[in-house]
Amino acid sequence: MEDQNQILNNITEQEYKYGFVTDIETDTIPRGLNEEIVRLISAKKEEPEWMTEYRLKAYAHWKTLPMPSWAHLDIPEIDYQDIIYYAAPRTTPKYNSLDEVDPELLATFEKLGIPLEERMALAGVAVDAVMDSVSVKTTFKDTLSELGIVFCSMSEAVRDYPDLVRKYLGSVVPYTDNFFAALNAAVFSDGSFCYIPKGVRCPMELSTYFRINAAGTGQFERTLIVADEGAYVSYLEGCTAPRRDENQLHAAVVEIVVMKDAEVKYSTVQNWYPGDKDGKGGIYNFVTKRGICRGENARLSWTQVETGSAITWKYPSCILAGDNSVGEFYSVALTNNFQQADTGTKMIHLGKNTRSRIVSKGISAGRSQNSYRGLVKVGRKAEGARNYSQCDSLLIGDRCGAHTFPYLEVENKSAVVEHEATTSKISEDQLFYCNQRGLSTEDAVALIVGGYAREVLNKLPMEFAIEAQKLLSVSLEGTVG
Amino acid sequence: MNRSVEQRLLDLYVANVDIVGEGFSVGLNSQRREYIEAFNLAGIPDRKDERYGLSDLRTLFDSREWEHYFTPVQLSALGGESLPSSRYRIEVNNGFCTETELCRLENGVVYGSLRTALQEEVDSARLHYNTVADNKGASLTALNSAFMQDGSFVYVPEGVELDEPILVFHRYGAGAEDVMGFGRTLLVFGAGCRARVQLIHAGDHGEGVDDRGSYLADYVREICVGEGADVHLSEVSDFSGNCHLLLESYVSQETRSRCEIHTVDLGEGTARLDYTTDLTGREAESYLYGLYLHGERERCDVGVTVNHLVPECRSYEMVKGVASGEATGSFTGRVYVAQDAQHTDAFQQSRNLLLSPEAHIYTRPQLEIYADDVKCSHGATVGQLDAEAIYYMRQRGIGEDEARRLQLHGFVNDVISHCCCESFCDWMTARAERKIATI
Repeated sequence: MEDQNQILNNITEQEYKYGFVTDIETDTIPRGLNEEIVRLISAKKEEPEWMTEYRLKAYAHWKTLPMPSWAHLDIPEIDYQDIIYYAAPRTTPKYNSLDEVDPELLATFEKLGIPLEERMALAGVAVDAVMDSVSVKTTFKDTLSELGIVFCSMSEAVRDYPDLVRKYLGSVVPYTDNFFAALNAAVFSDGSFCYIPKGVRCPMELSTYFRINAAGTGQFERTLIVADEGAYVSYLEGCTAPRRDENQLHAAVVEIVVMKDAEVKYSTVQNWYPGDKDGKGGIYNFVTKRGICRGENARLSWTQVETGSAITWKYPSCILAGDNSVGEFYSVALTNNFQQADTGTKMIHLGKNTRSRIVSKGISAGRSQNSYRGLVKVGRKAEGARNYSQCDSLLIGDRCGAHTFPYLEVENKSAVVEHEATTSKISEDQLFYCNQRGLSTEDAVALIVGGYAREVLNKLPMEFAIEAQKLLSVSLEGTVG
Repeated sequence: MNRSVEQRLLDLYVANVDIVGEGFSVGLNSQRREYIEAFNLAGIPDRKDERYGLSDLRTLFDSREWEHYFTPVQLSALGGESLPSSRYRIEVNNGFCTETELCRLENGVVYGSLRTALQEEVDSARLHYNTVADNKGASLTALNSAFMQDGSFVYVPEGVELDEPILVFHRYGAGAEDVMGFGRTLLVFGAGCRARVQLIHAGDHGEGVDDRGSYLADYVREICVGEGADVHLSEVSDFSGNCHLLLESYVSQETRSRCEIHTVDLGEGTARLDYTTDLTGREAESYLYGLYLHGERERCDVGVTVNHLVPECRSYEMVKGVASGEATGSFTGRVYVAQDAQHTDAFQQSRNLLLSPEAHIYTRPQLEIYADDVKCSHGATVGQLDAEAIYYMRQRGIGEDEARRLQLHGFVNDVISHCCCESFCDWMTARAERKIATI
């Protein structure tokens, strides 16, 4: 009996250890959402009047919107009054040393190949210097500012570069865009701002990898990237830390403005906590990502590897307004257990001779549902627009689902739009071949999936690609046999 | 026009409930009430419904005070138009069969008026009526089920091989008023039979058509294909501009059956063609070839849904569209593979040509798959005529118009050449050629 109590205690303690981060923060700001809360968030961030007004307008609009229900997703009802909309960065460390961290978590890090310091940072261990993004940025701040590149948090940007922020914030994703964009505009906690001046090639990859983790339960970030004429930047967004959290809403907005001759590459490796094997817990990842190619010859490329989140619902999009601009979308979305994903892209061709390419690879395992939904729209004036889309689905197991919902809307007669999709499973022959050569079935599946996703992984920056590859194997664990 | 469309239709139904149900069984009539209520609840699908987002049906229903004739009317013959010859023939005017007597062939084949078949309690009609279309949640189908008075009926018994195709000729026309109608077709094919059916939807091309009102047809078709049956359907809709056809076609296929449908839309009005196929028996095969050719301000929405409910079935769809002038064409396809419907082989294609700056093409081929050991793929293209091919032909002394025509001919021929018999194929080709010349 005593043993049982001990076990019970352990379990409850464990849950406390991971799940109750928000409880500490309840002191900071009360639960729920109303005008006062919006004002409070704005006040806490010491924002100027125009920003507060912007938030309030967004909130007023959000109130008029119903929660959208068109996606191929089964979303439990979300009580928006039961969410804490502002969680200040954690100041107290969760653990004192690595020994206290759950060994399973450490094992996962081991597999991911994340170096020790990072690993400690990711686990929320009190390690200075590397733990939050400020220090990371300061390392390179000199190099970047020499070139005139602005890379800072959104709050800093609102304070230091109000003109830039005012000019571009909401210019690609206005708060009227959709339910979650309105919510985000009203309550966004922080995010990053990046401005690359004319003709500057950013010498290094910019990343939001650390900051998201340091912000703990950062649920409503807002990212704004502006690449001025002829500029180039490659931007990474990583959420590769498995968090032991309850169902949690993550509604971010990413806006990208690409001017004439500029190029932006945006890569995401998303591994939010997907919930446990029975589908309990996990993050709801409802993100609005959109970029606009404003000038001629602008290029925008989205690459995403989605393996986490209980529910993923996002469509990184390109508005190709400038003539000869190019939009690209490369995606691998993997769902396992009870995960659900409805993801894809929108390519809106408005300028002449605009080109876009979509490569989407879906992998469903367990009891998951994985949908690709993509729009290719060619406007009336988009002479010579060209699109090619390829959507492949791979099914592992007979209880999962893979769905493809493409939308092709063509209003210009000179456009050429093509879409292809296939659905298949890993063939017995392939597995048998690998088994014969001494590979376990699990390794064989990882190998085959790696090959299947290669076309997309190749588009990622090197260090990300390796990580993503490993992530795919980790996420597939337990799908065979 | 203060009342909503739904309310007006409900009032129309209530006022005429006796005329509508006259002669039908009590059971069938009691269902009507449920259907009109179901329709009223669901309403005319509006643009928020993704499946109907591209066809503005509410505006169509609201655009006029649609009258409804509860009795047959006389329509003039097709103006100078010859129909493909056929020994077995059903003529339907505005949803009413011109012959009230059923034709019964020696081999047991029955065809003719659906009303007579239901009222004479012909088993094959009574047992299959509203079994395939029911419970689909489509409000237009419910509306049709409530107002249905007549239509066409074909029954081919087990093992019979029909030597010639049956021609079902639908004609629609209005007098001075704007008229709507609710025609219905029920085709029942017994196990192991072989049959071909040709369906023509045509407007009234008689004198003074231009002065007449519009016609709106809410037409439902049910096709039951028995075990091992082999069925081939060819369908043409060819209207004048004041006709609007809303077609919902439902097919249910049993084990090892084969059903092939060819559908060509050349009409000048608005057409919305929905095809739903349920593969309920193993190894069933379904083929659908569709074509629409449109110019001016015409529009055509094609919806194709194939439900793979059991393992080892095969489906193939190819829908081709040509939009010129200010025409709009849309295709919404959905292949659904149920859990455990393993070894499904499904392919869906949407091929489109855009010929003018004001024309629009929308295409949405969709896959919804819940089984892992399947082979499913789809493809969609939107493009224009191949400039190089035209250049090649012009180099060889073929005029530009002729070169364009030849290329279009090649594009549409894929669909037309597959249709069920040669004479019908020639007839269809001639009509398609005429249409090509106008766009």
